[in-house]
Amino acid sequence: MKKKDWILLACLLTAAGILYVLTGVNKGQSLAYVAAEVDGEEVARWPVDQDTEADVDTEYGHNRIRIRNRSVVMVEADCPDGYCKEQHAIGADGGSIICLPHHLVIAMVKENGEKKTVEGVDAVAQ
Amino acid sequence: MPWHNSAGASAPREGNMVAKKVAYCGMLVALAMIFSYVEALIPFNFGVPGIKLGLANLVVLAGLYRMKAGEVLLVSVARILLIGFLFGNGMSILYSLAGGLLSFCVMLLLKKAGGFSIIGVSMAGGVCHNIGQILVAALVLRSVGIFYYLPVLIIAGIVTGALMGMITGRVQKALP
Repeated sequence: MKKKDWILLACLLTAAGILYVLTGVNKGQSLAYVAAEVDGEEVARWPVDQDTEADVDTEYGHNRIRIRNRSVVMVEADCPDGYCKEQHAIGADGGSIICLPHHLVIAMVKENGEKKTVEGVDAVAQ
Repeated sequence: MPWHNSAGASAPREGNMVAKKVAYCGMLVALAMIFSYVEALIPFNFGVPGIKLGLANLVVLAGLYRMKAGEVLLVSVARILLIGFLFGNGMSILYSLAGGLLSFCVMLLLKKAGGFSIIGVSMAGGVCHNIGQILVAALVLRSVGIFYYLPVLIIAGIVTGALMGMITGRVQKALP
């Protein structure tokens, strides 16, 4: 490793650190709801403190999420890779679960808002 | 034997050299494809999608230090297209191309700039591969939510890139 390598390493680590802080800015704020976005548009939202399972069926395919103890996991997906089911649960520290083949982002949202339901999406309260 | 002779020095005919070059490029594409395949066999899950060892980058990296840039680019793109058509789909080719091209350009720039060791070049390549892929993913999702993964992917790129750089450095010394 030469001197410039170390400089590069330091720059990259700094960039990662800054991005980490930026993407986690809203940490600690009270979470209002869990939102499902398809193609960047919100198609559904659920209260984060209500345990439930919900289907998200879109033109791209089927997904099912489970909200339990204020954290969310993807439990079902008929996408070809299934990576979304392997992703960590998202909870109090925000974050998102992404199903790339289905253009779907499940995210924690930190502002207040009313629950919105769209055709093709139905929540099953448990 | 070096991978590119100064033209005509040891080869009697121009055609001979071209044939040799084609054979080398073909061999490297095959090697890179094997690496991609082996990598797909390794179960690897950090809870964040997109983290890979980047074994195929060994070939691109070694190539950068032994062949002309154009030839390396050809090998890299051929590998991505062939692996994509064999095991992936249109979208996976798009992700790989974005990552592969960005990482190739940055590695070439750093190498040309000088002052970086093969480990540094590889590290930047690994990080840029991840950045290229996440940019395409953000376009597909039309959402910036995916940038949440960027810090983790930068760290992963540094680690795997440094690892591949060290290995390529060793291989470089062993090769004639």
